[in-house]
Amino acid sequence: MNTAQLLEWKTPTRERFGGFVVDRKPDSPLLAVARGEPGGVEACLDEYGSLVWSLSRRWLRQEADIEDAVQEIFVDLWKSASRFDPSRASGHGFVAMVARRRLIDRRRKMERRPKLMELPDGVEMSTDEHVTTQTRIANQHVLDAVKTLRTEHRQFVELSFLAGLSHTEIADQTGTPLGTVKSAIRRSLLQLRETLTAQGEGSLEGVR
Amino acid sequence: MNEKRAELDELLAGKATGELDLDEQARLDQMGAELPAFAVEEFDLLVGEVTAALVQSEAEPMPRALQDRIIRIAKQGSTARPSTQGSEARDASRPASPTQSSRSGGGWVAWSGWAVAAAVTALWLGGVGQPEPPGEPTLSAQRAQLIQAGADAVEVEWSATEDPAAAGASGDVVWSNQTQSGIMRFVGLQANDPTQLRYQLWIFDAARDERYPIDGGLFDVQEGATEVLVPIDARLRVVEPTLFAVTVERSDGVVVSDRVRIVVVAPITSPTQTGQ
Repeated sequence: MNTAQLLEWKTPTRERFGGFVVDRKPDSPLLAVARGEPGGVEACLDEYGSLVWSLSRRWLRQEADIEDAVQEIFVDLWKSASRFDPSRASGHGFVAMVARRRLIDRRRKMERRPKLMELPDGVEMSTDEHVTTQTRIANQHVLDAVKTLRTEHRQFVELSFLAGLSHTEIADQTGTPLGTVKSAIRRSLLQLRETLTAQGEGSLEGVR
Repeated sequence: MNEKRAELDELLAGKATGELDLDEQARLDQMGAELPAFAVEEFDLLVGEVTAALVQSEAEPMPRALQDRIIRIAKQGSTARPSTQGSEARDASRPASPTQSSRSGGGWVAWSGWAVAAAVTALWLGGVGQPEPPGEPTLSAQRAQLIQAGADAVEVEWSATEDPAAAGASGDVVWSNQTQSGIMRFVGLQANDPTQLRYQLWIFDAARDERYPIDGGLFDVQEGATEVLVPIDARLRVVEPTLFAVTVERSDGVVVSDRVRIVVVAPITSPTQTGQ
């Protein structure tokens, strides 16, 4: 554990909620936007821009569509910023949820289904200089939890969450029965919830 | 955990991944009717957290121009549709004759360990190359700058396959890992009808699974074009390129090529080419 992580543990930013644990910044720009504070929009873009951009580029093909989608997602975020509850999720998790919903809608309208998506090999630190140590720690816990999944199930999760492939497409691409894919993804989500909850319980020991 | 809760969790997990059949949706509507909104959203948020963590491990920064536009829109309080002018240069789409072709001779071609020593025949045709965005250095100038940049730049000639679109094609690809940018140059590559089929670049990276090369972007060749210059738009960060390859794909591109039509390849076979 390095100094930054040690300082993180001394400051109880971790809270348990809804069954799983996520680190969160107490000052997410989403809250600034919700409060109508000056600079909130810019801070939101700085903090979450790379996440929304990168996810949109994975789901969509045409540059114009990607830019449209990114704009729509941020408009959705500003409209829903007041719903963001830092006791329920991290800012990045909330943003990704909103982004996925918009991308799913967009994809359905466009009726386009890309094939397999590149799978990220291993874990690399983000290239975004605005990703704070707290966010990196939070990301690492989630990534560690993902690594506990069976390799095949992890692949299904990545194809579904990252590239937005339907279960049918995943089944076609991987040669796996549809029912197996469906069941594996659901079970994986349940397992991830358990793993993150267990991580959170362990991390709370000795903190307070 | 009781059975009912387990069933509800499974339905909510299914909903979060967007895959409930009609019966399951009906069941969830029935069971979840009395749940508070935050309970229903729990798995949606979990999917969001996992997605965010996975994406952030390889995130790319948003283009500044797009960021500025979104800020302007926010300040205007408008949800006007963005201009698509910025994307026109890459997606120049003048209709050309269809280039439907049969499979490349020889069918499937192995990627790994490829050391194609194809004979390259330069064939110059008359016409205009790729349109370039106004006010920026020309693609020719950018290409020259990359080459002159020195040790970092890789310059590799294309080798044509037996695909009909590649008959007589030549050219090269210049790539800089430092700037994560590059320019492809083609001569004699068959014109395509972008409403039917487009060319797509793939960058094989030693740091990645070769089953999933990096998407380098879609491009077109206009009828009558001579030398065509195409900027490379790598979707992910390239760490150690080993091979550049161009395939023919459907008009909206693909995320992973089925490799049925491989047109030209440019393997990086010499260590001195990489400049790393």
